Amino acid sequence: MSDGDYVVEAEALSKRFGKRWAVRELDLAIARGAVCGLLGPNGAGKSTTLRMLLGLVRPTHGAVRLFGASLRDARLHVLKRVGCLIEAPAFYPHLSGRKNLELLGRISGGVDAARVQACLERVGLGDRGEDRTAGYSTGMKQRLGLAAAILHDPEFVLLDEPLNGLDPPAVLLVRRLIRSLAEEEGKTVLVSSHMLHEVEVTCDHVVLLRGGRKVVDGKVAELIKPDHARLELRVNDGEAALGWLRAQAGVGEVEEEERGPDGSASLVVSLAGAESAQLNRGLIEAGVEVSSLAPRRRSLEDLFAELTAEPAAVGAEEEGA
Amino acid sequence: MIGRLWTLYRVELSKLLARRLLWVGAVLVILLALAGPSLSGAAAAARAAAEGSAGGDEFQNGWTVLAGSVTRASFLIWLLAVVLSASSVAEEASWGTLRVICARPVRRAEWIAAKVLALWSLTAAILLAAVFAATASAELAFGLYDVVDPLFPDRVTHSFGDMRWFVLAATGASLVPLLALIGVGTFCSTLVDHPGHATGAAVGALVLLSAAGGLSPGFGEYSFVDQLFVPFRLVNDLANQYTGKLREFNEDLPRVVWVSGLWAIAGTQLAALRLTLRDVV
Ligand SMILES: Nc1ncnc2c1ncn2[C@@H]1O[C@H](COP(=O)(O)OP(=O)(O)OP(=O)(O)O)[C@@H](O)[C@H]1O
Ligand SMILES: [Mg+2]
Repeated sequence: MSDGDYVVEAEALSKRFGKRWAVRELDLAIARGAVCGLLGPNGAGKSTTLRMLLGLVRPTHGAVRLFGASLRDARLHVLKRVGCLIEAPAFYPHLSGRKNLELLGRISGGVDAARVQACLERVGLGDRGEDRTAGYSTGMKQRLGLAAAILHDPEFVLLDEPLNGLDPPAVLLVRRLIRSLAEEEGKTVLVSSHMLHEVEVTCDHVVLLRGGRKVVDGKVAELIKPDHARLELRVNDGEAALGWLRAQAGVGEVEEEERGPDGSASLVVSLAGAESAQLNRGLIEAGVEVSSLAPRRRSLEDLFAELTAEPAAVGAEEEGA
Repeated sequence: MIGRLWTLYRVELSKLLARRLLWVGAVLVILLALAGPSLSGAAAAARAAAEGSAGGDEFQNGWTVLAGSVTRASFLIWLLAVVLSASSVAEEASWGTLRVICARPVRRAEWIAAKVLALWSLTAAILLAAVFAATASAELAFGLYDVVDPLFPDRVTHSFGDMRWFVLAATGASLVPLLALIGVGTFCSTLVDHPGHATGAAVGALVLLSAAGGLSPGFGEYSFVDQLFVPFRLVNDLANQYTGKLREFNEDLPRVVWVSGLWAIAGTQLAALRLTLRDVV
């Protein structure tokens, strides 16, 4: 079957809830085999976008094509090839984790007991499959939700904030799972997140959303590179460090992010010609202890500010706004 | 389509079979049906005491006891059907599984049909078990014989074979209002995303329909709520020697089937339509 090069194609996708536009004029194209991040602050419209891609929510305008086929016309057919975890994972509380997966597997078709077990093991629930899901912890539910998403071996996996409620080992497990889905199994993955760093480490491609609109989309390597022109410093004596840094010629703006009760501080320094090693030596010679010094990791807010030169607002815009 | 429906039906069946409420309900229904003769005996004794007459009800026989037992047990079955159908979709919405199911390759209308059919088959099985239990206990306590005129014991009003046919026909006909109840309950379930509220809405709707049927008998003939009671009331009347009831039985039973059948189709269709048109968030 010729499906085209894009797993997802959406044109001018818009959704309005009452007077509020949750998503507006969103164009989206996700290439086969890509790991794409949908990045945006709370209320940016990430979940609404994913729901429209699955046909859960009817777009107010625009249309979605999955595997080259219209979602409206071929929903049953294309959804067989899609797996998802939307918002919080949900299960039948009175059934065991295994039974939940078995039922979902029957609906999707082509899932046997061995596959259910393999998926449980892949998310680290191999020995808790018999327990009722009502007794699962948040992280266990999230893991079971991931197992359900990959259960029927879908070609396209949508994950909405898959790291919610996970402990550090589980975060690593999910990152590895996402990478292996794409690299070893050739699947296409769309992950939503409000954490820049997550997208940076798992995705190749990123779409930035804010207020329901796409701000930019492009390759992660090009959009989210660490900012070598800004340094983050942790020093034991904020006052002295500020004084010394502000007197240096190669240093631009210096901001104090945080001051501890003992006088220690976190500073953000914009470099204007100076080298980080040079600043480090200078500070020590001026009697300031530097406990850490690293290129500034950009936050989502920073990125938005850079890209649009305006502060990010939470929520969607009102009708007519 | 049949294949998909069959798969969904089996999934819904296993979900229901894991519900404790269903099993508790089934046990209570069967106990109630088995206890029929003692309950009927007590009722008859109370009536006799109130009327100041000595003996029991001379018209009471195995068949009237059977009909009474089934009617009592049916109340519980309807209650079970209303609670389970009215919470069926609302419950999934509140758990979030509605989203999970709708994001799978499932046609929402087929899913609703599977839900209605699964709940119907289980409550129908409970009804059949109740009829069986009521028959067994009536047979043991009173015996099931030809119905005879108490004044002329050799005059047979309805033979054993006739009565058996009436009971079978009434049982079959009762299944249709049960389906209507489930269809309408499921429709209520698609209106509210909270199982408790949806159950409240369904009970409210039934009370309104039944009140409307009480105020206007003409409407009652076309309301499945009124039809719920009809089949076994007719069996009881027949066993009670009202010979004129035979014509009524032959006329009313088919109406129970088609009126309730239309309600069942309407309820299920509306539920499917409502779920298909809404956003699942
Ligand atoms: N069912 C709904 N009814 C009304 N408004 C809604 C509904 N779902 C979403 N919205 C609105 O649409 C906007 C986008 O919501 P959405 O859930 O898509 O955001 P999100 O990017 O997933 O946010 P988060 O990071 O908090 O999950 C919000 O303003 C929200 O209030
Ligand atoms: Mg969200």
